[in-house]
Amino acid sequence: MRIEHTPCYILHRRNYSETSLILEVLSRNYGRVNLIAKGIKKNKKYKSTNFDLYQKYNISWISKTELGILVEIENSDKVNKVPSEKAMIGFYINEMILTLLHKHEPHLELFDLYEYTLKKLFSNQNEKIILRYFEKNLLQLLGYGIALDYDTKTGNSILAEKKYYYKIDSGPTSDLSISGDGMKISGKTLLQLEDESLSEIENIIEAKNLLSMILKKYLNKPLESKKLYRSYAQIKSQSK
Amino acid sequence: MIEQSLLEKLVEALRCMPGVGRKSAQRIAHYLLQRDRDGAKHLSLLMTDAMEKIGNCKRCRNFTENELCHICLDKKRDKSIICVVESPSDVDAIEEANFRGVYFVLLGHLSPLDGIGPDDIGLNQLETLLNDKELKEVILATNTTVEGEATAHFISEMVKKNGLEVTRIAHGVPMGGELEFVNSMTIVHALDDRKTI
Repeated sequence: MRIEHTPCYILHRRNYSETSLILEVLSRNYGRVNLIAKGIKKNKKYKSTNFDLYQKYNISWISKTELGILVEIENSDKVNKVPSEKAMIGFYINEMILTLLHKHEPHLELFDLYEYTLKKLFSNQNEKIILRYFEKNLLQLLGYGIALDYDTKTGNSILAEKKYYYKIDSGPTSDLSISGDGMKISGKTLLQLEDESLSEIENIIEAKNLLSMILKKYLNKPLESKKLYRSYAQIKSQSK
Repeated sequence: MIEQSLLEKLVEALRCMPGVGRKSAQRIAHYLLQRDRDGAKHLSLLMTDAMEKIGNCKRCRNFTENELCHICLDKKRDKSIICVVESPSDVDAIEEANFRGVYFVLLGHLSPLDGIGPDDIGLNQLETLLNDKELKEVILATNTTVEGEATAHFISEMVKKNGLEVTRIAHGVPMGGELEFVNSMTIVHALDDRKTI
């Protein structure tokens, strides 16, 4: 089967032999696919293509086996100029998708979420907030539905001024005597995460802790990109 | 199962070289057997010797059979400037441009998705070099890919922490290049980094 001109982002690439690349791609219509770009490093046809991360391409490929064969690639939009610090944050976004999304499962909304997140990230908006919205939406789109706006025990709406206990498996409840895997969290954070209006530092930190706790359950292993960013942040704080 | 002949084994072994497929491997094997057996014997001896003895320079991680490579040992080199590159072939490329400082070879770049972190590319070793009192400037000459840029950015913070000057090689249109064949990202960088003349 030949797939024509599909909007794609390259999530990861690695060298294959001297002249070829293996690309792990997020495509708009076919989900995550792996492609081999044969002989591209010596083929003049691809001289003006960077095969870079975070750039939108239109890719055509032949899909016979698990590994598709790239036959055409062209820039789809104006190129994104990627600030280097943001590139490291992008590694985290890419690694999350590669870890949580199965291959060949079409996800139009996820493609749009990825594109929207990159746009916000590279336009210098607060990455601590952008990442929380990305994590929340990713979990919801992949079916790990997380309840944020109602008390899962009583069914009542979440109130901003109240404290809740968020249990990983079920969601928030006003019954603070409950125990098990979870954490205490303010109603304000839950509501702001739900309607994407996080602004104050304490709510951003609470949202981060909540999503880290939930993601830890589904990711099985710590993400390498997160470790890298932590070492970077540590060095940066010392260089100031 | 029929055992492979020595010739077949030789052809297979020659394919470990970059850019050598089955046809080229056959051609090389036939040429050496027909016309240059002495050359091939010399090559095989040298190959064994090189593979056993060549390691990495203790200071810059470039290939060498000694503890320190010839560049690190060269007293005429300007030790106040270190150029950080991704691979030994990048050292050769920069040497051709007559650079007179010294190098640090990462032997890769940061790539968390491949599990390659700061210690895997020798940044702990580079950190030690940054404490050298003679050192004044670090030039970051990693590749201009996203991973290369991220690596350069990471190292730049390490260098700044040590209060040294850190510079990045310029990005732009290659000499002798025609604009219509240059990719868009290169033009974006060339325009951003334009200079007054």
